[in-house]
Amino acid sequence: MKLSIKLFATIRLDTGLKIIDVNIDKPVNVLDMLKIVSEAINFDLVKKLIRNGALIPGVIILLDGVNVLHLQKLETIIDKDTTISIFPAVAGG
Amino acid sequence: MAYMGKILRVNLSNKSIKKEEFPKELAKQYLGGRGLASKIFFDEVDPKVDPFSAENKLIFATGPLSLTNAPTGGRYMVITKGPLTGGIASSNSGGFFGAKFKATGYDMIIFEGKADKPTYLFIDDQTVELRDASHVWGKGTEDTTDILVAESGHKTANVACIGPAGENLVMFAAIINEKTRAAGRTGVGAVMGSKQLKAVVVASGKFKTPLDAPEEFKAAVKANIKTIRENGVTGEGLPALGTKVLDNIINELGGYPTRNFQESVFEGVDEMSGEALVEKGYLIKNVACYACPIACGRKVTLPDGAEGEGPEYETGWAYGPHCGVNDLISITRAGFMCNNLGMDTISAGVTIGTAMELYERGVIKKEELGPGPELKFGSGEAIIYYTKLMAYREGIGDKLAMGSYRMADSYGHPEYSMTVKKQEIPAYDPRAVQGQGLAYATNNRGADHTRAYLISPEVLGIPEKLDPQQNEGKAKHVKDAQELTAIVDSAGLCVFTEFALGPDDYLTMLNNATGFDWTLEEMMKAGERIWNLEREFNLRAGIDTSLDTLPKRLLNDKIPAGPSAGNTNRLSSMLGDYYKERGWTEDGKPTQEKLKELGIV
Repeated sequence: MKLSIKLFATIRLDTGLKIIDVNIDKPVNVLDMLKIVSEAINFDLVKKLIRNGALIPGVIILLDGVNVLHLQKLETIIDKDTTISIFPAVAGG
Repeated sequence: MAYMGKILRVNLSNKSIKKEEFPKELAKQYLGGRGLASKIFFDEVDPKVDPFSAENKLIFATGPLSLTNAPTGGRYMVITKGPLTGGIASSNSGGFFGAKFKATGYDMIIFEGKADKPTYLFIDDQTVELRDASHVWGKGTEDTTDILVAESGHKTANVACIGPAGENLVMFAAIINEKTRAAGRTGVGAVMGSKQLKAVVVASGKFKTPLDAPEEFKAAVKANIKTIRENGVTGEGLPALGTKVLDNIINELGGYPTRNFQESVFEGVDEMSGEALVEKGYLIKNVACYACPIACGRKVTLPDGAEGEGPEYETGWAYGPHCGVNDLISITRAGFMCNNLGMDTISAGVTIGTAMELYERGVIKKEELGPGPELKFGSGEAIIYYTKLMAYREGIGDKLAMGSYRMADSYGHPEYSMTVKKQEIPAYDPRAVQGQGLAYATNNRGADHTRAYLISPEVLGIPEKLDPQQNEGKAKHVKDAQELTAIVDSAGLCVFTEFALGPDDYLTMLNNATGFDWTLEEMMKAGERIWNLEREFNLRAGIDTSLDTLPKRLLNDKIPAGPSAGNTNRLSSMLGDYYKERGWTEDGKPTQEKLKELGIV
C-alpha cells in the first residue's frame, strides 16, 4: 500500500518536506503510521502531535480528507492507498 | 472600576465637544465596547436613519480590559449603522490605538452630525479639539498617519484614519490605525468619510485603567498568559505562521472557496499559502499588538522592497483562490493597497471575484473595462488594477465600490453574489462546515466569521471536535459562540484568545477588573443581551428575518469535487433550532418576554 503523506505548517518548515510517499506491506493504525513516518523523515511526529496518549487539541490528521477524530482516532486502521494530511496544532481566522 | 468614567461627545456640525459621565449602571448590563456602545446607539439613533446622513452617529469605544495587561487588552470598536448591511455595525481593531485612546482618560467618543470641511479630532490628556484636515484629504492612510503624527508633536502618537475609499463612500471602507490595523467590516470607514472626519489622533495619555482588585487581576492575567503561551495554537502555530496557516487546512478539508465559490479546492495553494510566505522569504518577522502574547501579525517585504503587514488568511484568500490567483506577490500587494486606500480586504477581494465570474459569463462586457485588463480568474494584474479603481470609484470601479451584492444586482444577477445581508462571505465554504453556515446566516452584521467561529470546533477541534457535516446540535454551539464573543469583544480583547481561554478565564479577569462580581451565568446573560439588542435594532431597521439565509449556490449546488464533494449547506435543518435556542418566535424575532427578561425594553 502506498501512503502519500502531506506535511504542513511548522512540520513542513522544520523538515523542509512537503510530501513523502511511504510503502507499507500490511495495515497499520494511525499511531504506528506516525512512528513509521517519523523514522522516514527523522522528525519525531509522535512527540509533536500526541500528549498523554491522545492528539493534542488543534492537531489535524486527515485520511483522504476525513479527520481521524471522526474515525477511531489514533486507532484508525489504514488498509489501502491513502493520502494523509498532517497539521500540528495551528489555527487562525 | 476598569472604566475611565468619561465619554466624549463631539458634534461635527456645530463643532461642540462635551465631556459626559460614563453610564456605570448600563455597563453592568452591557459591559463596554461593542455592547455598551450598541446600547447607547440603540437609544439615540433611529434605526431607519440613512447611514450617510448627519443623524447617523459613529462611536469609538474601548472595553474595561482595554489598556490593561490582560492578554490582547488593546482593542477598540467602532459602532454605527453600516452602509453595507444597513444594520448595526461594530468593527474592531487591534494595534495600539485603543489602549492609547483610553489612556487619555475617556472610554469612548460619540461623533454626531457632519463637518462642513475635512476635519480631524486631536486628543491628548489635556486637549480635545477639532482641527482642519484639508491638507490630508485625498491622501492614503500611510501619508495621513505620517503627517498627523508629525503635526501632533509626539513621535509616538497613534492615528486612526480613513483613506480615499472612506472619502469616496466605498460601501466597505475601513478605518485604519497604525497604517496596518483595520476596523474592517461593514463600511464603518465610509460613515466616517460621510462626516468628513478624516482621522482621530491620540497624541499622549497619562492615565491607567483603575482596577477593582489589582493583585487578583494580576494573578489571573499571569495564569491566562501562561495558558496562552503553553497552548499549541496560540503559543506556537499562530506566532510561527499567523492566520495564513489556515490556507492548507481549509483546502485539505475541501472548504476553500475558489473562483467565487464555484469550487472548494484551490489547485494553486502551494504557491500562495502561509508556508509559501515563509519559504519564499517574504516574511521578515511577526508583530504583536498591545499586550498580546500571541503576536500573529506578519511583517512582510516583497522582492521589490515594498513593505507592509499581511496578508492575513482572509486577505490572501479573497484576492487569491476567490479570484483564482496564485501569485503571492500580487495578493500581498493588493492587501497593502487596501490598507493604504482604507478598504476591507474581504469585501474588496470577493467583489472583484464576483465581477470576474460576471465577466466570464458575459454579463460584464469588455467595453466596460476601458483600458483595464480583462477581469479573468487568475489575473494578478486585474486584482491590483481594479482595487485602485474601486477605491477611487473610477470607471467600473464605481460599481465595484457598491460591494458584490449591489454590483451583481445592478446587472440583474444578484445570484452570483456570495453575500449574507449584502456583506461578503469570508474564507470558509459553508457547504463543508455546516455550523459556520448557520453562523453566517444569523450574524447581526451579515456574513462574517469572527462573531461565531465555528471553524474552531468543526475543523480545528477546539475546544472539542464537532463533525463539520453534522447539523444536529449546531444551533446551541452557534448561540453560545455568539454570546461569548460578544463578551470578548465588549471586554476589549481579541477573539484569538478564545483558542486557549474559556468563559471562566474571562469571568475572573472581568470581575477583578470591574468589581461586578458576576456569576458565569450573569456574564453569559450580558452576551445574550448584546446579541438580542443588535438583533432588535436590525429588525427595526428593516432587515427582515427572511435574510437569515445563504446564497442559493451554497444551499442548492453541491460542491463539485474534493474531500467535501456532494455537500450543500443544510441551513433549513438548523435555523429553526437556532430560533428555538434563542427563545425567539418561529420566524426569528425576539419575543417581548425575551426582550423584557434581558431588560432591553
